[in-house]
Amino acid sequence: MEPVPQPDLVKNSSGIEDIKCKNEIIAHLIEKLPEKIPKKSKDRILYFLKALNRDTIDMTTLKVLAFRGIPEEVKSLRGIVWRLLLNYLPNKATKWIETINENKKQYESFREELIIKPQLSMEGEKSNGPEVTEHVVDHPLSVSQDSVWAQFHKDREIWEEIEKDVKRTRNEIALFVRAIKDEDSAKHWERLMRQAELKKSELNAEDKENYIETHADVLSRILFIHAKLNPGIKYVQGMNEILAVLYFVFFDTDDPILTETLESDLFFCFQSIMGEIRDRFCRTLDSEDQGIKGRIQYLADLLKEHDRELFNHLEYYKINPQFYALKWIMLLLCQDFPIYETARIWDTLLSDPERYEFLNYVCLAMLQYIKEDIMEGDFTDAMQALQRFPNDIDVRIILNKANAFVKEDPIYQNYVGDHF
Amino acid sequence: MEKKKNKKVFLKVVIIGDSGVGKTSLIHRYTSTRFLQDFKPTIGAEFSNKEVVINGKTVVAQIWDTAGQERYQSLGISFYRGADCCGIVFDRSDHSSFENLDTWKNAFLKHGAPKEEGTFPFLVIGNKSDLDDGSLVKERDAQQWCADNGNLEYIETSAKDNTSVEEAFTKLIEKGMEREKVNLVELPDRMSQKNKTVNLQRDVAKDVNRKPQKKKCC
Repeated sequence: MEPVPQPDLVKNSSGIEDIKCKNEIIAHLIEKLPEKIPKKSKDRILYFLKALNRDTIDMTTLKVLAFRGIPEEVKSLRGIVWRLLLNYLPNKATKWIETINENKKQYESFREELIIKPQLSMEGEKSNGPEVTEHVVDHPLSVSQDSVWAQFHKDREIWEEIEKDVKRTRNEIALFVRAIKDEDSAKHWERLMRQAELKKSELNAEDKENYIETHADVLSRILFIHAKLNPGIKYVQGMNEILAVLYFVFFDTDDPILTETLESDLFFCFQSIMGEIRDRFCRTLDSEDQGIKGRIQYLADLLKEHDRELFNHLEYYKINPQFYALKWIMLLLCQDFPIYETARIWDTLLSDPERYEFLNYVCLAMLQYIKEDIMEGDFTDAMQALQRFPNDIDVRIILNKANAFVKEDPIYQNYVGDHF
Repeated sequence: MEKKKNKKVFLKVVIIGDSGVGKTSLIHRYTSTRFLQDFKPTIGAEFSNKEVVINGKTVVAQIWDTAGQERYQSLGISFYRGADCCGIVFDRSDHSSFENLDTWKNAFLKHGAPKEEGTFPFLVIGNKSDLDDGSLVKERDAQQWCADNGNLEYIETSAKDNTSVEEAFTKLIEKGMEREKVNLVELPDRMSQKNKTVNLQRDVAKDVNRKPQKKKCC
């Protein structure tokens, strides 16, 4: 039996008529529905639209649907559902626009307050520090000029650390190198290439003068503001990859409102994910249950319970679970597959009723998928297999395997079913 | 009875250094002979291996690529343990990565806890030599640092141009083998049918190269 509500949006077989949309975003979504959609996806899309277009969205219904995959044919749909799953958009659809606008204002004030000088790495070159403008002197956090300078230097270190990683984030999708104003991308491609290649501080005077803002700059800014607001963990490598997945999904929109608020939406959704997994990033919690080693141990215990043979083999070769699972657990598998497949995995991870418990079962499924390669060889072969998980695989195979571990669990009863 | 000379030696090579200095690129260049412009930051550690013949001996180098960011250092312990040699890499165009050599060497000795702290084989690698615009870390400064820190050997490389990469890893492996000589003892035939070289100071990394079947037959 399908665990999803029957669509009553459909007035006739050709599509949808006479719907009173709860807000402009949903209206846009429906207006722009592609004409040709395969039958199978069409039903699912309608289920989603029906689940969304309510006074109060039933989050369980939405999660049950999204767990098995969010249809990719409709621009913005995945981004909207993720915003809901991450509790960024409220379940009252009539409140969406208000929420988005309020958060945009909030984000702008963070930007204003926390970024001492947006082009600091360029300016820092000329003198030993920032040109102390009135804005900086008036900065609420600065007591004296000295503190501004000290802060500036500390900030510059964070910027540089972030810049280094942003330059090597998902370059295969050629998104972050592009100009924010897309028409500039083609016009100034060579300059953009130089910007991508060099640090900001290494650009020549003319390139600095005519600097074109890119999506990489937005990525950096969000990571920087997050680091400033979370001084306990600041910026940790891998955060760039997590944010990149959100970026990739949210960027796929033609909705004017969502385009306008892309950066602030991204920031708060990133903040929401990081809020849930921050303990894994926190060095002082490494050895606690909720810290990264504790989480990895938990996965190892599950492996022992579900596949003793594989567990023993890895134990025999002294393959510490950290050797393979650190990245998986810490970064929610965002570094192991092409980005569109990662997004598909995240549909399931974000809809997990026990967020992020199901991640462990996905990891178990991955281990079992390569079990033969691991069992056949010695330490070296096993390590090779574990660290180079085949990334051209259809992740639905893995997700379906993972279902098997929870199918008896009442919490997941309505969730498990073939993944789309 | 004539002894077989051809024994495989397993060596654990650990590569450390600041984030973005080119550790992953160097290893990739060495193990796959290609250069890629941008690798993702390494999270935790990544493992690769290469079999080479050095001085007539077949060596399986197990190369551990580690994360450069400070946050991951405390997690590095499990990766450093049992290392036979260690390459500390800095980016010649990034002076702060040179200044951090100290920190890296100390962190390795602390977490890797090799027995011979004073003589443990390190190789200092100054990478990105292709970026020469006159402001690179000077060879004599690097040599000076090495001299002041236990007479370490220094080599300049470029993973991009493939300058001295092979040489650097060969040096590292040779140093590791030097160290092994001290620790390795050959067991008489009757104790080891395959005439396998056994490390008496067995550590995690090397012990695990022996297959379960072999254990039974011993």
